[in-house]
Amino acid sequence: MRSGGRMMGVGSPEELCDRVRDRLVGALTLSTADRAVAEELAQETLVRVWLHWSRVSTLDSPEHWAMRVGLNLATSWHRRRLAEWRANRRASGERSAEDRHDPAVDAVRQAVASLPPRQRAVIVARFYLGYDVAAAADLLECAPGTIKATTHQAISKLRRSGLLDADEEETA
Amino acid sequence: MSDEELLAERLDRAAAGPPPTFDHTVIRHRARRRRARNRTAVAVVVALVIVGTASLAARPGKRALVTASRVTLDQLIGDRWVPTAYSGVVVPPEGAFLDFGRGSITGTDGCSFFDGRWSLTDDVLQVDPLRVTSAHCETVGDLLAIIEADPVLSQPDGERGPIELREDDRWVQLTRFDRFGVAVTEADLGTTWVQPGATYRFDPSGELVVTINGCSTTGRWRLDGATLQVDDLDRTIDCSVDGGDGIVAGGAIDALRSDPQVRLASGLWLSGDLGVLRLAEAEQE
Repeated sequence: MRSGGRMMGVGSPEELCDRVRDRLVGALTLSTADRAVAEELAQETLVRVWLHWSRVSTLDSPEHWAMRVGLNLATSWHRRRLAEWRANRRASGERSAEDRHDPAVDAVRQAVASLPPRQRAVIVARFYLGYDVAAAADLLECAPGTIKATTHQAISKLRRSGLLDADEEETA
Repeated sequence: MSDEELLAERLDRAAAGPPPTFDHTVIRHRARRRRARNRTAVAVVVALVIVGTASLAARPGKRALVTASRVTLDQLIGDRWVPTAYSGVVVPPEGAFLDFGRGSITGTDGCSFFDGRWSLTDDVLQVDPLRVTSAHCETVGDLLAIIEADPVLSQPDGERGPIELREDDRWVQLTRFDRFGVAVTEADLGTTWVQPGATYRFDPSGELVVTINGCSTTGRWRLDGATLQVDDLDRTIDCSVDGGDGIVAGGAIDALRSDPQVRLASGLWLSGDLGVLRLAEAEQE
C-alpha cells in the first residue's frame, strides 16, 4: 500500500501514528482530564514524531519516545495554558459530548489530573499504559526507586480522594 | 481486587471515549504544513537580510549593518542567553536564561529549571523532550513552550546581536548575557543590594557583608572588568539570632564565590555556573 509516495508498513510514521494513537489519546485524557485537549496534544506529539522521524525511527522504541513527548506536552500544557484554555471554554459554554454525562469518569480524570506532574505521569505510565517499574523509570528518566516511591505516594493520594473506594462508582 | 487492579480498571474506563477524530493523514498534513511554514519563515528572513544587506552595501560610504542571519552552532554555544523580549514586548528577564552546550541545553524560565538535548537543522531548533523541575509558579513569557515547539532561529541584527526563537506568531528574543544591560562600575556596585531574606552590602572600602535571615558573613570584593571577584567569603556565618555559628546553606554564597559576570539592568545581575542571580537595590534610608 502506498500513501503519499511512502511505503507504509512496519517502521513507517503512518503505522506508528495509527498504532499509538488510541493509547496516546487515552493517556493524555487522563493527564489533562479533557478529551479535546488530549486529542490536540496527541496530534502535536505525532506531528513531532513525523518531523523527527529520521531520528525517532532509529530508537529502540519509537512508541516510548512518543509517549514521553506526549506526557511532557501534557505537563507543559498544565503549567502554562490549561487554566486559560478552560476558562475560554467555560466562557463559551463548549463541552465535548462525551464529557457531559458521566460524573464517575469525570471524577477519575479529575483525581488523576490533579496529582502533581510526576505522580500523574507515573500513574498513567504504570496503570494505564501498563509499564513496569523499569520501563516507567526509563520513560520518565528517573531511578526505579523514584518510580516506586512516587507510585506509593500517588496511590495514597488517590485513596484519600476516594478514588479507590470499592463503592466509588456508586457514590460518584 | 487489589488497589492497583482497581486503579487500572478505573483508568481504563476513564480514558475510554469515542475514537480520536484524526488519523495519520491528518498528522501527515499538519507535519507538512509545519515544515513548509518553518522553511518559509527562514526563507523570508534570509531574503530580507539579503535585500537589506544589498541595499545598504549599494549606498556609497555606508557600511552594511546586517552581516548575518543564519545562526550557527558556534554562535550559540558557550554564551549565556537571557530573554529580553517576548513577541516584541521588552520584559524584565527575572532570572531566566538559556545555556547551549554541545548537544545539551540547560536553563530556567525564572521558575522551573530544565535540561535536555538539542540540535539545529535548517535553522530550526529541535529539542528532545526536556526534563523540567516541577515548580508551579507564574513566569514571564512562554520561554519553555517556545523552545519545545521546534522554533525557527534567526539573528536579525547580525552575528553578535540577539537571536530570535520564533514559533507561529510568538517569539522570544534572547540576548547574550555579556551584552545585556550595562557594564557595572565599582561606584555602581558599592551599595547595598537585596533579595528576599538576604542583603549584600558592597562597601566602597572593599568589604562585602552578606546577611541571610539575620546571620551574616564577610569577605572582600573587587571588580575585574565585568567579573566580580570575591575573596575570603566564608560559608561559616555569625548568627546573631541564636548566638552561635551556622553554615549558609543556600547557593547565594557559592554564586558570589564563583566569579560571576555582573550587569546592571533594573537591578544587579550576576551570572555564574549556578545560573542568574538578580538583586534589587536597597532603598536608601
